[in-house]
Formats: sequence, C-alpha cells, structure tokens
Amino acid sequence: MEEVHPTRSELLARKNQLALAEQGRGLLKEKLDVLLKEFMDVMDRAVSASERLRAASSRSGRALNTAKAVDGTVAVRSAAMAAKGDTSVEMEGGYVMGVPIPEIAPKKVTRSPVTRGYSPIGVSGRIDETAYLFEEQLEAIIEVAAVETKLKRLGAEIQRTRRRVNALDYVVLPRLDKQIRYIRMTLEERSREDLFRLKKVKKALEAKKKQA
Amino acid sequence: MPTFYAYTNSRIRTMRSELLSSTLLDQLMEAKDVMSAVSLLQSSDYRADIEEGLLHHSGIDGVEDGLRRNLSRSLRKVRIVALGDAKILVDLLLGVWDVQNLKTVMRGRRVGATTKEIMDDMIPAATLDEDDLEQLASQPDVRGVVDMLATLGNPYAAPLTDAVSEYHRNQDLAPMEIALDRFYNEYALRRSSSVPDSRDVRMVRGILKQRIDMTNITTLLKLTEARVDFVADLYLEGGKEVSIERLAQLHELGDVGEIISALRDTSYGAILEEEREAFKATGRIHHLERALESEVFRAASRLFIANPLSIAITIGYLWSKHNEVVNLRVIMRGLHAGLDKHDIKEDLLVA
Repeated sequence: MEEVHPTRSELLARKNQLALAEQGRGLLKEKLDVLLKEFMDVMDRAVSASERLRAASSRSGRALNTAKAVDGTVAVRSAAMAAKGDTSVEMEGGYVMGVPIPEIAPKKVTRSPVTRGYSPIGVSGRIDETAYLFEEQLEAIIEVAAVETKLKRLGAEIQRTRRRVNALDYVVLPRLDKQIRYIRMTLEERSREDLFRLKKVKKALEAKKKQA
Repeated sequence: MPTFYAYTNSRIRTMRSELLSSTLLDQLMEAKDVMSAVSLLQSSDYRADIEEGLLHHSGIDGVEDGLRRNLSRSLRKVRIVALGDAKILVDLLLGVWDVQNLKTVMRGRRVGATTKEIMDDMIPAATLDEDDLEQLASQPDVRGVVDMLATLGNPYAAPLTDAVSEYHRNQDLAPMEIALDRFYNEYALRRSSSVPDSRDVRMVRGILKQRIDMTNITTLLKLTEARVDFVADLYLEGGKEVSIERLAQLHELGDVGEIISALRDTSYGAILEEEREAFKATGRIHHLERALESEVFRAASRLFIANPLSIAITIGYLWSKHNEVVNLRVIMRGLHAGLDKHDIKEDLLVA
C-alpha cells in the first residue's frame, strides 16, 4: 500500500477521492451503456449491410459470368477499361458521448449507360448490366466500410471505457476504501490510546491525591 | 461474279465442314469439366489454337484465348478466300471487329495499359491486321492512335480526328466511340452502294440495315430501362424497319413491355414477344438481346441453303462461326462455373 498519513485531513481527502471515483464510475457506466446501445444499433446495420453486399456480390458475379461467356472476356475487359474511374467518399466527423466517430456519407456510384465512358451503341446490355451491378456492389462496399469503421471506433471506445470502469471497480475504489479503513482504524486506535493514557493519568493523579 | 463465288464458296464449304456438329456440342455440355471438354476438341479445328492459348494463359482463360485466336484466324481466312466485290462486301461486314479493336486500343491507351495487355484483347479479323493493331496499341496516347490511323490511311481516322478534341476537353472516350459507331454504319452502307448493284449487294445491305435496327432496338431497351432521356445521336441512321423518329416515339412510351408491344408490326416484335415473360421475371434486358442475336444467327444458318453462287454461303459461315465460338465460350464458362447441361443450354445463342 502506498504511504498513507493517518491524519484526519488525509481521511477527508481520501473520502473526497472515493466520492469522486464513485461518481466517475457512475458516469463511465452510463457512457458504457450508451455506447453499447449505439454499438448494437450499428451492429444491426452492419449485419444488414454485409447481407446486402453478399447479395450484390452474388448478382454481379453471375452477370459477369454471363457477359464473359456470351460477349467474351475480351469485350468485357475492353468495356472495363473505358469505364475505369475514381470514386471518392465524403467523410464527416460525428460524436457519440464525446467519442469522435467518422461518418462516411452514402455514395451513389451507379451510372447510366451513357455516363460510363463508352458508347452505349457498341456495348451489349449484358456488359452494361454487369457494370451496373458492380457499381451497386461498390455502393454496398462503401456502406459496409462506413458501418464497420463506426463499429470499430465504438468497439475500441467500449473496451477503453470498460477498462476504466474495471480499474475503478477493482483497483482504485478498493484501494481508497482500504486506505480510508486504515486511516479510520489508525485514528480510532490513536483515540483509544489517548483515552487509555488519560485514564492512566487520571488514575495516577487520583492515587497521588489519596497519598497526599 | 459467279466465278469468284465458285472458288470462294468451295473454300468456304470446306471451312464449313469443320464447324462442330450438334452431337459434339451436346457431348461438350455433358463433359465433366473444362479440360475434359478441351480433350473432346482434340480432333477439331480448335486444337492448335487452344494449345496456343494455354501456353499464354492457364485454365479457362487459356481456353478462351484459344477460341479468340481461332475466331480471328477463321474470319481472316474468309477475307483471304473472298475475291473481287465479295472481298469488299466481306470487309464491310467484318468492319465491326475493326471498330471493336479500335475502341479497345483507345480505351487501353486512356488507362495506360501495356501493348501486350491491349493486344490480348484484340480480334484482328478485318482490315486492321495484327501488325497495324500492334502499331496502334504501342502509341503513347489516344491522340497518337488517331494520328497513326491517319498515317495508315484508314477511313476510321476521319471521325476520330473530328472527335478527339472533345476527348481532350473531358477525357471521356464516349463521344469518340459514338462517332466511330455512327461512321462505321454510314460508311458500310455508303461503300456497299459503290459496288455494282446485285443480289449480293442487296443482301449485304439488308444485313447491315437489320444489324442497325437490332443495335438501335437494344440501345432503346437499355436506355429506357435505365430511364435515360432520348438522344438521337445515340442511335444509328439507316435501319431497315425502325427509323430514328420511330425510336423517339417508342422511347416516349417509357416502358420496355410497351415498346415490345409497339414493335409488333415489325419483324422484331415476335422475337421480343417470345422473351417477354423471361424479361418480366428477371428484369434482365439480356433475354431480349439474346433473342435478337439468336435470330441473326438462325437466319445466317439458313443462308447455307441459299444460292450456291452468291455471298450467302460466306455470310452464313461468318455468322455460324461466330455463333459456334460464342456457344463454345458459353459451354466452357458454364462448365467452369459448375452449371449443368440445362443451364448451359439456356445461355447458348443457337443450340
């Protein structure tokens, strides 16, 4: 145990520290509850987003297979070169219980056959459909990335908060409690010694008085 | 003229005899896997090309590369055996491959693909041979491709030169590609008119015009489904049965089902009608497009029984060969994906 001065002022200070730690633990537990609730909400969204991604991926895979079979890989690769482009996503910062959580705005990536960078005249409907379904898949990937980023941040914060609550519950609060008990016991012991000493003095004074 | 056809068609008939039988196609569909199917092709015209393809790529990609090489080689052979006016007409029909190759070269240059990557996606079957295409593919940029095309004295240089400035403004290849598509169809019709009029010329013009109709109808169906406003530039002039004005009216209907109904008075109506339910069930334009493509191939196979001293036999072979390669690709991809015979058959253009 760290060195504790068993004085009344120290007892007061430790009591204040204990009250503060208990208040902090309460607040952290409240924070943990809110974060957990948010985490569960985001988790539901993450599950449905990944289901959407799985479905989109299966649809696009099937369409790609048809396009490769009927139009040939050569035609598919050629159209893919024309349609190649960059996609940027917009990120904003939000807060949940003071925790910074990045918000990735949903992005519309799907394009019409006339804005894909190739002439719609010479590209088959199968290739157009494949391109559309892969664009849809990219939208689903962005959605999954958005919720998973949020989930990761919330998860990390929940762990951090839980560690703090545990530290208060199992280290700080028991230690303060122990220190308070120690100071209190020491002070009581000291007061008993004083009383005993006073009684002894009183007895000695009374014996002296009798002799006199 | 018939003298040319006597020679050309006897050569084409020999080539036709190398086309795969429907029995072999059935056996291929029942094969255990892609490599078992390839072994069934050992005694066919595809053997050497598939072996070559498998030297460059592995598995299904190698097989598909072999099919690409075979198609390219077979179509080039037709160009070699075609003589006189027949050669001009064959070149006009095969011009779609030039257009496709040019688009691929420009697309490749736009994204900085290597010459080899671009050449892997070429089907040199028409006026631009492998050397021309390699020269084009090795240019540093899109402008260089257009300039090289002009140096080669190719007619496609003109529309691309006009459109390249727009590409430089927004780096979008679509206007150049649209210019190329429109030019090819106008040029093919114009050039075919310069050949002395005959039943063969009329047949080729008929096919070119029918192809324009089918391309326009497919574009219309795609763009209607995607809710894109009508833009006349995205459609080709010179169709056989459906004019651009008619396409604009059809687009006003705003619904694929209604367009199919409205096309009832054309020869395409019945073909599309047959696939209406499949489209309704899946919402995929692919069913309608495939029906139109199938009809072209079916009509081509009927040409083999037309006049033996006409271009019909040559056209019949060109389309049948293309159909065969598509069918083989569908079978190989189907086997690769683990599909059963029934599913593979559904995707075959002409079973």
